[in-house]
Amino acid sequence: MVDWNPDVWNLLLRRYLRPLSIYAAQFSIDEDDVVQEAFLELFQQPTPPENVAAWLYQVVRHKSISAIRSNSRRRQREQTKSQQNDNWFEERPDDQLDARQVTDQLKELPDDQREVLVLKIWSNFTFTEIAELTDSSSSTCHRLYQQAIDELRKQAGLPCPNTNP
Amino acid sequence: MSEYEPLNPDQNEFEDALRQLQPSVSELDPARLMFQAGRNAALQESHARLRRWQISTLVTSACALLAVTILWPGFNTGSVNDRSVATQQDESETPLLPEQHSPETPDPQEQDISANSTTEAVVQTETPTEIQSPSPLNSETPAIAWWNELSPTSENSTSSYLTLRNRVLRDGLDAFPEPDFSPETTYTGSPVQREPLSVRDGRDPELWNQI
Repeated sequence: MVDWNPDVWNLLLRRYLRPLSIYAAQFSIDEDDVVQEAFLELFQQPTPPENVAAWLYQVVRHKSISAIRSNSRRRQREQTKSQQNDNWFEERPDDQLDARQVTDQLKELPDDQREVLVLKIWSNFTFTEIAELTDSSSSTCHRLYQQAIDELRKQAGLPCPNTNP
Repeated sequence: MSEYEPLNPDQNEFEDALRQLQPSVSELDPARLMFQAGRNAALQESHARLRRWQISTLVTSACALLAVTILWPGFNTGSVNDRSVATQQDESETPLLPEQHSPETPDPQEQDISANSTTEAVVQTETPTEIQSPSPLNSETPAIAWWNELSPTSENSTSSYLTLRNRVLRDGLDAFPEPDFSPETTYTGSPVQREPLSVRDGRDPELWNQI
């Protein structure tokens, strides 16, 4: 087992905890449990992974999909609950966009578009990294991302750039 | 493929506005997560130690069992008592040799002796070989030699033995009457000729004069 330095541990938490939380939350599951399990599993690895970020996101994705497939009833109940109460973002007055409104708009997106958008915006992943994580191509990820942005802009009342003359 | 670059500046501003939103972390506390990680590591180490101890114990037991099996050949055939019983059974199942007789089969010589007389049976218990061949009696007979060996100083040991034997064969145990232990005759030795009291008192003058 890797003897993790506490400083490295704090750096990992500070850098990846919030992005991983919203990435797990967009799967409509209990994101805290999944992220915690991912970090604990990372801590128990005999050797540290080469790309810690990619490893963490891969574990969170697998655990989230497994949780969705294993317990669909619970997922539906939690999805309904999250749609009513949860807010994926902190509400701050300086933000240009309303956090709750963006959350609701994200929940309305298709799953594949929402996943690519979350990874691109709040995790700063490149399309190549997203394609590797989601087991798809970069062009597909680019197309899904553009569709998600267009949908959010349309719901926000902003003109879509691709449709402008 | 080159990384995505938004063509529209408005879209770029919208993406920046999205990035300004700070994802919320509701219940996940880093300190609690670190504590949980440390606890899990301790549990994992404890389980690993327990597993190593179980494996070492199992190997030690197997080695001990193997050593006992090698050093104690009878261990595989069962317990000691079982083995002794099995040995006894094997011995009982072993067929008798031709010169041996089973206990149930009477000895033909013993049958002959019992058919003769009770006296010979009594003598046979003492010197069975001599009774089986009663006729020629001489000093070369093993029984006589045995008698002479017991009493080497006796001159007539052979004749004394033969006399005793003949008396037993002729009269049986009556040749040796039971001693009389009646109160009147407590002395069983040689009979004593008791003199009259008058003689011992010196009243017989003739006897007194003889002395």
